[in-house]
Amino acid sequence: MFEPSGERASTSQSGRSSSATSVKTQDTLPSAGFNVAALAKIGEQAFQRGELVSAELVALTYGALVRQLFLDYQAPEDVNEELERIGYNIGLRLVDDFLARSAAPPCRSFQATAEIVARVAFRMYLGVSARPANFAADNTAYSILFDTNPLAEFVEVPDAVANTLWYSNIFCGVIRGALEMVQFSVRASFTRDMLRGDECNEIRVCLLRELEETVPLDKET
Amino acid sequence: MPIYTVFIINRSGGLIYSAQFQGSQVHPLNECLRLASTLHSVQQISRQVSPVDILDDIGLTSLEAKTFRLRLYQPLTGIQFVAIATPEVTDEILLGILRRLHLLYADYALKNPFYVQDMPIRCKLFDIHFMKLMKPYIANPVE
Amino acid sequence: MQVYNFYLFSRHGTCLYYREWQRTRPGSDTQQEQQNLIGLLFAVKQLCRSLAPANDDSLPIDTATRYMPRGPSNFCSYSTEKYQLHCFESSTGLRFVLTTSPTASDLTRILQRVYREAYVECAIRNPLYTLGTSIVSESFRKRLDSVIRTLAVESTVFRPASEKALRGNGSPATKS
Repeated sequence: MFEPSGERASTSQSGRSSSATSVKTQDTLPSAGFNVAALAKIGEQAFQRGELVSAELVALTYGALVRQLFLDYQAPEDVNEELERIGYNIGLRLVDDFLARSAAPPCRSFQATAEIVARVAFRMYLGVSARPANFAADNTAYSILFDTNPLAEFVEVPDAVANTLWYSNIFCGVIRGALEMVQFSVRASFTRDMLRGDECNEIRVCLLRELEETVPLDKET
Repeated sequence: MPIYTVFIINRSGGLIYSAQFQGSQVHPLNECLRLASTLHSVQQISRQVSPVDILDDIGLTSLEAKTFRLRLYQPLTGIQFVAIATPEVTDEILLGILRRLHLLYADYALKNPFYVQDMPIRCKLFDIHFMKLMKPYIANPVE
Repeated sequence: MQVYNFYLFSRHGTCLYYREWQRTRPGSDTQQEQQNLIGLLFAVKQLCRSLAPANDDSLPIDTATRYMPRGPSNFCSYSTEKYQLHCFESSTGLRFVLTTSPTASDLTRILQRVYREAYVECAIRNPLYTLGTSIVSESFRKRLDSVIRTLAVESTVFRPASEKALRGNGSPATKS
């Protein structure tokens, strides 16, 4: 867990954000039956209960990891992919930690996961407030928007890779891994990043298919 | 909305009587037959996985889920009377009803010379008395 | 109250952990027994979904007809005359199963504690543990035991009430 530090990562980039694409009007659906304030409170409580780790330490560690991957892989696309894979493996485990320690209500539908991921999980693990938005009409996709990114606090991406590297791609993997464990196979990807001068961070989550629980067959030996 | 489903299941797991009242999910007859036989086999397996002595244990007799409660009454003949109700209905009430249902079964099905044992119960008198028994415990019956 | 045994099943139905305490009837074939039990749990899950009242808004919304219903089971426990089986299923499909002597109380809370204090702490957070393999950790056993021990303490406190409820169940209530 990160301790939210006073200074925002966004301050250094405020000058660049003017070029960002305008935010789409957010036709947020009425939050799938959840009380938004209550969810935010659950996230906040879980955040307070957990042990806090210096945000700086995490940001620096993550920075070193990305840097090392760069040395190993060279191509930014490969780094993106590797970060996503690492995140996926974290997500597979983190979801149980999340379910066991947060008192989040169970998700009745895919749409409901948006609220839980954004309002509870982001708050609980990152200490940032995220919000779900841009639901697809058929409820098979949504976006998670957040303005503060503790991982990117000290980062300036070199111009050479600025348009290919998704620095915080690990989040996408975590979301994919976690949702897969609750029977939703999804694809998650960054569509906007404040490091690229966008006015907020946006992760797009698309539902690929719902997984079926497999029934073990009797092994006749 | 207390009791919403009643099943009577014969010794081999076949459904011989079913009643669904308001508040129940509406299942076609085939689905009810399947549910009854699933319940019957679950009961058998629950004996096999018992961690304690299974002598004179007939297996599952009650089941609790988050939003309902199931009670099963099985007299020595092996026939099963099952009632499903919302959780606020106590176990004693359900058991009492099932015992009275057993009496009705003895009176209006078994004593009817034209009723064939282990076959679906299609007896008018049984229906009438069954409804009389259930009336205090149900919301409007589903037609 | 007596506590007989505990099973932890993975989402694919393999048994990750088994422990017994006051079990009196020895299992003849452990593997077969575990398979029977997981089969039973799957059947009960389908059954409970179909038998739940209409418009039950605690259940996940199933958009398509599927063989197994989506989301964790709404099943809590069943009892026979001799024992009671409690089950808690997490959203990720882990099943925590505990058998006890028949009591009237709901042990979901205890099983959630096992999930939180034993499974998450000793399996999920152990980077050397591979998901879906059986748990051999000694600290898992210790934590499991300590949670179960609190149960034994609680039950002595509440024993009078539950015994009374039990006697009520057995008494013939026949009036016609």
